[in-house]
Amino acid sequence: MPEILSITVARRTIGDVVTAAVVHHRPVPIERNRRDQALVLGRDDILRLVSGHEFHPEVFSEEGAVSIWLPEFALYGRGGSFVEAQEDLLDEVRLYVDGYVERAGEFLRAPNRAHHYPWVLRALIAEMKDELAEVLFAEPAESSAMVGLETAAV
Amino acid sequence: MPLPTYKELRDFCKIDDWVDLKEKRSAVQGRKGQALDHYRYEKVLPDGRILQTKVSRGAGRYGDPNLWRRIWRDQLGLDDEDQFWEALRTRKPVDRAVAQPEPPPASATAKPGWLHKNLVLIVGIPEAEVLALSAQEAHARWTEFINQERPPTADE
Repeated sequence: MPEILSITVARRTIGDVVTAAVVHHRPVPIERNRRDQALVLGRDDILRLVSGHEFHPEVFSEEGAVSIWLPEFALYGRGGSFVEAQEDLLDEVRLYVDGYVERAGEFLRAPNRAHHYPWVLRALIAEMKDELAEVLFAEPAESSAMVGLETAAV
Repeated sequence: MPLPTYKELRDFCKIDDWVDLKEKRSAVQGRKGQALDHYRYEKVLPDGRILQTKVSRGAGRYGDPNLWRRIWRDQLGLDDEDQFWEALRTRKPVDRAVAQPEPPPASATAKPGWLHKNLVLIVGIPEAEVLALSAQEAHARWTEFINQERPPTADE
């Protein structure tokens, strides 16, 4: 097992800690006052953990408007076209992730919000990589697998 | 049952003791440079659930029953649409049941966002035509496209 670094050592060697986590993909455990424990992980390693948490936006249309409902966060975007509704939804997701991160302790205690956490990380990382729209509107893996099966059966 | 106007939803939030998030969120919105084009409300229930919704500032009403169903069920935390209209009629807050198990995240009958995007951008079907397709028809068009024979590319 890797050694747990004290906060003092971690602070002094923060560059090495980030290199270990990001470049060498090593989780780095850190402890403060023998009580508060943290684990530093590289962004792409966290992405590995949450990549199975996909989004399933649903599109609805009405006279002169398009709505896109995002069931993972119970949010929607709305606009005069699909593109406008998509932009509105992206803003909603950014606001929601901001709010969730800011009030994480509270949201993680809420029975209807706690399970959003991996999707929040997924969206946060997608935004860091400037690919939020692509991630939200990616074809889910289970759907691709189904198309593959149908193709194989033809 | 009619679909509600934005004003009716705003009235509901006031009657049902929701908190206006305007001040809490304005800092975030200001940072992002986004306009305050919606009222945003939040209600924390005794069982710990945090409910959130947004309502347009303008006049008008919701036009799609599928969207409205998700709003009253998943955002307002109601068991039944009647609870919404009852609160407006009696001017009394809703008496909610304790938290129920979460519904599965996606509906089997709704048209997925990725499918809409692929039909427009990859298959090249006009957006108005895609919007008019049912979920089943949209899936069929995508499967047909995936399965059709294409000339080999230069790499092949």
